[in-house]
Amino acid sequence: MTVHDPQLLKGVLSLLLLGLLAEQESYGYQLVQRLRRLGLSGLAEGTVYPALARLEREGRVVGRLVQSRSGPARKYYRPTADGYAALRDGSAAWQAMAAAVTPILARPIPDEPAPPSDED
Amino acid sequence: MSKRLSLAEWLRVERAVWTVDAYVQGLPGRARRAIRRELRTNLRASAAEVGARTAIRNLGSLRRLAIGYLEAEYGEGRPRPQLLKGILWGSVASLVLLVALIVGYESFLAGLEASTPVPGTYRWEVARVLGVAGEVTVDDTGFAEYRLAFSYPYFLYPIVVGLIGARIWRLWPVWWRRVVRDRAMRQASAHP
Repeated sequence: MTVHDPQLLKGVLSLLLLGLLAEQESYGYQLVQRLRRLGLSGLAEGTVYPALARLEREGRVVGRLVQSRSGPARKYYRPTADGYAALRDGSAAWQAMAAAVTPILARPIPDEPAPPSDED
Repeated sequence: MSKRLSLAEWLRVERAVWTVDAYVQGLPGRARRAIRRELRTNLRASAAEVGARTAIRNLGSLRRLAIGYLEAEYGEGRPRPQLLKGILWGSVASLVLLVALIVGYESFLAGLEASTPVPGTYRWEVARVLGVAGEVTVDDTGFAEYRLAFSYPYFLYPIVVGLIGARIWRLWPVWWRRVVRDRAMRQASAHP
């Protein structure tokens, strides 16, 4: 299954980028390719590049230019200490959220809601 | 597999890069140059694999991308410089200045004519502070030669009004962040 909802993705894109950059320094298009290989095939590149710029403005990643054999120098990013801290906090928050949300969304969806009850 | 870009593809990439650049006019030149450079690199890498047309389509809306870059620099909902407002205010200031100078100079000439001047040179100095000085030389035959000289304040005032109208000081945090970021990038490049 592919994730196409930009609103859902917007909330976690920074975390995903930080997570991938913590594994390996990458430049913008390379990150897009890595995210697509991980299942986000409908991902628009136009959402990734500003997200990287925002992370850089917030001091969570730092870029460095590396000469490329096939063209102009590419800007490779890596997380800063703040970036690693944000990744740890964000991952914990996401997992807590997923632990609460997944069981609810995993239940079978009834055709009709049950009538109101006096409980609660 | 990556391939070399044809001239047409290279031009398509450039057109997309400069379209985004036009949308991010409100950013300082340094930030815009960095965006152009990075976007160009990414687009070329993508175009080498899937072709320029698809690479540009994969970016999504160029306007939306530009808004993303603006929000990344200024923060969402934060005040930004208003380049168009600056141009408007600068133009209005030049117009008002010009009208004031025409009216002033005409009054000076009317006064001079009314006083039947003796031969000599008459200077209009009151507008010097606005960067304009006038001079009328009357010779023995009654022939008058008119001269108007413009200096830098005449051009400076509309520029200053334009910069204030554009809220140019809102660029300061972006400019400073960019300086700090470039320094960090140089250090990261020097010590990978």
